[in-house]
Amino acid sequence: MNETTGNTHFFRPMDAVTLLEIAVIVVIAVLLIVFMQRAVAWLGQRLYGQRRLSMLAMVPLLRLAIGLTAILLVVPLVIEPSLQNMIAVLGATGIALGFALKDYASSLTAGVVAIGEKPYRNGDWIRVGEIYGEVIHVGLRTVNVVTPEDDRVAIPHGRVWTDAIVNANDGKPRLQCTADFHLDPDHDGAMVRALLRDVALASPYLHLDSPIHVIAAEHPWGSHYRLKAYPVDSAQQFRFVTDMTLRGKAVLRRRGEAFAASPAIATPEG
Amino acid sequence: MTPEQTPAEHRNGRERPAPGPSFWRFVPLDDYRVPTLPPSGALAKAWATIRRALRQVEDPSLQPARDEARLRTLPQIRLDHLVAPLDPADPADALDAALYDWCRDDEPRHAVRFVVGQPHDGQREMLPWWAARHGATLIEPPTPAEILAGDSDTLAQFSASGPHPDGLWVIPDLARWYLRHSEGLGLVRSLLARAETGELGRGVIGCGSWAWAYLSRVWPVPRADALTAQAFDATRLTRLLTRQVERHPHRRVHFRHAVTGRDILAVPSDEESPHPEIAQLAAHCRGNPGTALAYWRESLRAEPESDAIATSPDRPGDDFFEEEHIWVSARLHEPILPNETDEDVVLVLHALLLHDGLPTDLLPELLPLTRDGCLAILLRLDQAGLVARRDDRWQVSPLGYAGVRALLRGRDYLIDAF
Repeated sequence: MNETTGNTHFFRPMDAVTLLEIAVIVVIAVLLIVFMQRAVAWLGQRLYGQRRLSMLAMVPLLRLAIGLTAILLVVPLVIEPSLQNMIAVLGATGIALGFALKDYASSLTAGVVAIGEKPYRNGDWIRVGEIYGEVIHVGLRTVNVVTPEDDRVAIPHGRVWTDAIVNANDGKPRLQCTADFHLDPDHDGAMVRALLRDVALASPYLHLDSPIHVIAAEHPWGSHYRLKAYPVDSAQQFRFVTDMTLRGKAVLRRRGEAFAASPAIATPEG
Repeated sequence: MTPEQTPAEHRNGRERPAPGPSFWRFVPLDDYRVPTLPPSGALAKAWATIRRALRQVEDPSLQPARDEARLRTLPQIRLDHLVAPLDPADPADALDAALYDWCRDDEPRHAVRFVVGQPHDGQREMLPWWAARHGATLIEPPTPAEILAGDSDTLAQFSASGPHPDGLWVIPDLARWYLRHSEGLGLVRSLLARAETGELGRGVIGCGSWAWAYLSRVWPVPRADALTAQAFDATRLTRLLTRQVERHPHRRVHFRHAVTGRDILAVPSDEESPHPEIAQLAAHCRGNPGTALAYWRESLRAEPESDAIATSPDRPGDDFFEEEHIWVSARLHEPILPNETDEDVVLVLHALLLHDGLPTDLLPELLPLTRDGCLAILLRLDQAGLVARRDDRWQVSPLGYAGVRALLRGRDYLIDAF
């Protein structure tokens, strides 16, 4: 008898109207999320630079807000909203997630953390392990990136807990690009540095208000120059590096500079 | 000073030259003020439109508006009378006033003065005129091959003696002295270094605002004394438009809004305050007189049946005036540039502005595009009215300039400071 009374107080009586209300709330929430994602993506395609990134970064936050609002509206329709009931619901949910859906819950939690900490946002260029690409969607469980090879990769948010997330532009429209030049050691370094600086200035992709650096290092096989500069938009990074490389190669050849004869294997240390 | 005066007469003259028509005035670059709409903001603009619409209903004396579709464009010769090209003598007079002290100073603090102009604002045409007036040597720009070779022999022109006693020289357009190419920047650096240290003597260098923005990054030397023509706000633009109308005695030209029927401008007229439409035009063109004249010229219409010349007394006792009515279209006739414009198109437009126009053959040297690709883009832009060919160089058209600038600004490319 007591058990029956407890159940009666825990769950609210369900009738057709209540079920319809829940269905309407869920459908509206899903439609809102879909519409919001499409609208923001549409607007994002028409904006450039910082405005685009700020717009795209709103997606996960808005989705979380819509989802939480829907849950807050549905729960009181199903459960009698008392303190004891809420503790019971949260406890049961916690046990279920902790045992049965541990990894899924971990990714979901990391997804919420990712919205707050912003290790990546839509439009950022990130490296997680061996994967490098542009973030195009921050979902509930995964972050989707498109690699330079045009592969779409879904990375679980859970990797936030274990892996280093390398973010090349961190919410800004520009990221640093590097073009490498390997030259025979017998040359006028100051002249090469000046030439490479002009190579960057000549590229139409260059963001002219960002710094240009030429870094030189000597190796047993020759001299390694790294020309570092920023393109106007991060999406231009590969075209920018290609343009600087080809321009640099052409001007160095015209000036009679010899390239390093022995093959050099590029390493992160240079 | 008149063009007939010799430079020596000018330097020894006792009186400061007349500053020229009051609408031209040269100021330091930082003093340039982009005109804004009097009631700023979209809400105020919308409210002004509603108020104008209400007034249209309330005013019984208002002439009926014209259906724009029925109005015809004016013949070229009539347009030339109503909107004559900018006269280089006007800005040259104003530049005389601005450089008066510098011209008279035997040991000026700066050997070189820079004059920065916007596309189509007439300053590039003005400087050769100013040079001829002062007997200054007009320095010919180097060829593209000389620029790429960094040929310092080009600078030998400066030592050639000209008619001016102090060897004054003028470079009308510094954009012709560089190319955005790995080997196209050395010559202009060398020129600027030698000019600014006084090695080349006294001179005036004209530069387009876009080339100026780029060269300020290539050769970052602060030049606080660089001059530019102050922006044409509504008042100055009204005066300019009035002056551009070729005067006929006993004829008054009314420029009337095609929708409201109200006078936007009447020449001659005692009306001093500028019409809001002219204020809008000035704000849209950001104070550039050349593009403002192009928009104005493009918007003029006439009645289909006649030029609508009527004869009526102006005021009792006055002479009779022929009243000519010219209708001004309510729409801005400018080519539309889609927001989704291809990146290659953006690169071409940016290169054209940075170099103040380029020939087709040079574009593939400067951009990662083929010649055919460049030509196809240029032809498309030409058809859209966004670029135009002048001599052998492609330039962004006056009517396309505002849209192109807005596009480049939206995409974070380097833009000029105006």
